[in-house]
Amino acid sequence: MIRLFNQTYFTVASVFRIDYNTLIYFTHYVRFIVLRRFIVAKGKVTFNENLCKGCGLCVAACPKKILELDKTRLNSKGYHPATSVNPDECIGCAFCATQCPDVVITVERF
Amino acid sequence: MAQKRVLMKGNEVIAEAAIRAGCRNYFGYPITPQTEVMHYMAKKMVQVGGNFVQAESEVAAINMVYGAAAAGFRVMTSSSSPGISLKQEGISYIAGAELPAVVVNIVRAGPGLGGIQPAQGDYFQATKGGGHGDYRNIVIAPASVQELYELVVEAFNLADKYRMTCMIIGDGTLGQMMEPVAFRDEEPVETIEKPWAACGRKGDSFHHTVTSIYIDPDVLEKKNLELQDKYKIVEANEVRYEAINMEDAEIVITAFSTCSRISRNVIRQAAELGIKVGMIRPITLWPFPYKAIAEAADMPSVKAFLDVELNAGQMIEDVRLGANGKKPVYFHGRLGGNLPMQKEILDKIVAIHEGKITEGGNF
Amino acid sequence: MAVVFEPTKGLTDKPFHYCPGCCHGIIHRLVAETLVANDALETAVGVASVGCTYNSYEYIACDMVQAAHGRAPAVATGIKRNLKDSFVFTYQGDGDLASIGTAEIVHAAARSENITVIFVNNAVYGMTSGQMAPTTLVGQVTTTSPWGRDPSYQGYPINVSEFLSNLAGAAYIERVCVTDFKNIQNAKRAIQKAYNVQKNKLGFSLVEVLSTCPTNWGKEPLAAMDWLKENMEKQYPLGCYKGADITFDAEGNYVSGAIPATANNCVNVGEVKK
Repeated sequence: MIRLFNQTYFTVASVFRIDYNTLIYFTHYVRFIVLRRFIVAKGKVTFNENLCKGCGLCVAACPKKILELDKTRLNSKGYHPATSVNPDECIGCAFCATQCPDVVITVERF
Repeated sequence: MAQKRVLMKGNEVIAEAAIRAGCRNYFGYPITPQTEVMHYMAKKMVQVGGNFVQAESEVAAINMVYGAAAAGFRVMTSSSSPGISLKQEGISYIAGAELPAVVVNIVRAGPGLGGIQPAQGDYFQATKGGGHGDYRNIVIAPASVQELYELVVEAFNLADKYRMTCMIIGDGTLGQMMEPVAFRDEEPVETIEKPWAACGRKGDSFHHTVTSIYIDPDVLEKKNLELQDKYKIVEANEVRYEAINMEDAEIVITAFSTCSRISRNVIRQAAELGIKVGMIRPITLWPFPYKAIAEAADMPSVKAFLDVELNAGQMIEDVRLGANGKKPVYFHGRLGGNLPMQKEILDKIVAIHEGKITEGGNF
Repeated sequence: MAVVFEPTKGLTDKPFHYCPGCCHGIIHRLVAETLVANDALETAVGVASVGCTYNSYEYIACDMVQAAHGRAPAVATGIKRNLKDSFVFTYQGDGDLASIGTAEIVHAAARSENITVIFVNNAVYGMTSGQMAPTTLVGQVTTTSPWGRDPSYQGYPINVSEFLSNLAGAAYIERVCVTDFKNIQNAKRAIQKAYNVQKNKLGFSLVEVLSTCPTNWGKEPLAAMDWLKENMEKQYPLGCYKGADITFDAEGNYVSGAIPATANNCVNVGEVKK
């Protein structure tokens, strides 16, 4: 499969006189930056807020850095609960839920 | 019912009785003078497919007992005074968690490392609660090897029925002596359901937990009151004692176990001297036969009690409670592992009869 | 949308009372998930110890027995000897296991009791407010080592995994931590391996999990994780100390690896000893 792709890229590059490497780069750009919303797995996190103790471990664990403790409000325990401030970027890796000591987070993935 | 009669040593009979009662768990540690219980179990318990562990200490042994009991299985441990002291925390936990267990104490002289000869110095520890908190154990004092057999089997039934520790109090004499024992063909073993046991949820809607900690004072108070209610039922139903020669008795001996055996002969000898001596022999040290003592104190013929023990005066306090000041309670005791000679007791009986002893002090 | 992570059935609904950032929550969850993954929730019996997790029997959804301080391995012995086919485990802290319970853990391992011990090591006494533990590091400040642990009168820490691995009865001993996703997955793998060791009746297994104690270390949860990585891992290196070569197949059946000669209590000894 990969050899077929490479063969195709090579053929296209030579037919249209584009540098092979530039073609690869451009294709990746289109795939991963422009079209990523439709190709890279997207995820969704839900917080059972009143269990959260505001420890911040999920905030540090998230590789996309989309979680924060909401300093504008308190949950029923009196902590600033964790929440996703950029849900579109979630990749559903579940690092946050795995790290959470209070089983606050449920993670879904497309 | 054909009965086998076998000459056996007291300690070994304890082990045999447990196995006959369906106990398949024994956890112990060596200590003189009860180690033969463990030796017997090391062979017999394994041969019947049960669990035998020589634990790393008496502390570990009582906690293994706690575990097996929590999982719903009959279990026994045995030790002697210093080892029973080590077990007190575990016994308190067993009481708090309401688990059935049988603990055998072959008492030796104390305090501390003490000696290895017989004594009855653990009466307070056994009946007033050697461990912390408000709890009771059923305490049974057999007086012969035959009684060791019958009462150890009974202990398992009582423990299961009331979900508490049944403690067997023996001493080195009883543990080491050999007497003929008549074994029944079938034991009166009562199988009691244990839905509370932590042995796997098995589809129950809630998991079973065995615990003795209740942080909320209201909850813990309620638990304690439930325990007290249980103990009242035991006190109402399980008092056992033997009354010997009580008709027209002038002096009533109170003694348990080995001292009661010695005192039986003294009763005969006193009769030859024309003194009517009776005996109340508690078989359950808890619940204590206060009523029997009170009835004896009410008898017009009774002049005094003589309490005979291998200690500095422990059961005598319960005898005095039962007598409630109606009649004097005198004392004869030996310590350090010594046993009283019959003559010592007889001399005291004669002295009481002649009015030569007055109340005051134990010795 | 597929759910890739949700609260496990192995835990009850009761919210944990543990401090913010305490690793007990993570470790409880890993144990609970292992019970569920192996279909053991209906048969397993756990033994709760004394310390912060004295009431872990309220959180873990299998049958649980609460034990006296340090005595959990003895209690587990009493249970497992009777329930030879059920998964029996203890959950203990460093005071419980390495201080008052030293005799019980050594002898349970020496007898090769077929139980699994989850040992949570946070180098301090938590519940009783921060005293020195047998695993406290030299120089570490606690309420009973106010100038830092001084070996001249307070001795040295005990490395439990190394120490127990010398016992012939120990089948599998591994030390892990739960500081990040990779380590948590590794810890879960170790707990699953311990489960398989017990299921195959190979002998005694113990998983030591390094943990933080933010409250008694006086640190924020994240800073506590960093302190663990920088200091505790030096004294207590992660890794497998016994039974590294034990392997299982996909169904969890024992394939190969050095094990104690006889797992003692899973054979009816009475049949052979007449």
